[in-house]
Amino acid sequence: MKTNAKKITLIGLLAALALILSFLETLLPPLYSFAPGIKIGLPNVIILFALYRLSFKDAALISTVRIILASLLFGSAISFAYSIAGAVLSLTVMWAIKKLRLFSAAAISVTGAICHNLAQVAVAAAMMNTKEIFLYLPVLAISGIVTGLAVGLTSTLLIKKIKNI
Amino acid sequence: MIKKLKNDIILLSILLAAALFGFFVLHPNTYGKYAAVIADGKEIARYSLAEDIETDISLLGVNRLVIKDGTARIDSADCKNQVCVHSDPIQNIGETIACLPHKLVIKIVE
Repeated sequence: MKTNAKKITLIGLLAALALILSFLETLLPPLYSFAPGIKIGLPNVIILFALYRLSFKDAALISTVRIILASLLFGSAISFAYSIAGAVLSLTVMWAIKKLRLFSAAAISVTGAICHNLAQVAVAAAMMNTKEIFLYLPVLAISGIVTGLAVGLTSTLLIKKIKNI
Repeated sequence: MIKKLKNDIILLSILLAAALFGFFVLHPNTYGKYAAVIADGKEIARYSLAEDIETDISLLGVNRLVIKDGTARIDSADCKNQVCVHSDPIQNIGETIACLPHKLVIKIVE
């Protein structure tokens, strides 16, 4: 990464990609039969890539831009609160365990997905002042393992193919 | 590379085991007697699961609560995401159906 302009362009491009993936996700049929309100987490393909090929700061920036735009375009103030809480916890934990150099991107993605679920359940329980909301966590975590693995393996392909940016 | 794969498998196994434990062991399995309507953390109404009823709950929006054959579910709601409408009917103590946009929770109680 040499010039500032190149970096700004790259972050803008990745934020746009993540936003498109968010939108794509709203078009998919909801996976209600398994658990209410679950998502695949496609934007994490980009965030994880940014974490590997750029930096924690850049990944956080891309994630923030993506969430603000997605909430304005096809979300709400409430969805913004849930998304930002999920993103803060999952990105921080993914960054921390990546530093350990013990796990692959796929396992880091799964951990990120579960942290995302955990943060969202915690926000929901706090907002509605009902601790029983935490009972949703196991089923969300099981779905998080499956979707996090798929997202992580997809991101691994990107990370391997695009080495110099 | 092989070492990472081994670590991955250990980590994923632990996470999966914890999730399955939560799903099968912590999940409530005792039939409740009432469906409590909770708005913003406070119980505002309570309906017996023994009687079949249909009622509209008007808070930040309208949710139609249906109690039938000892189970409670949300039949319709005027929110955007419809998560509560697609939630499975509940009947065990501690089970909930949450409507995040309307800050509403239906909870099964003793």
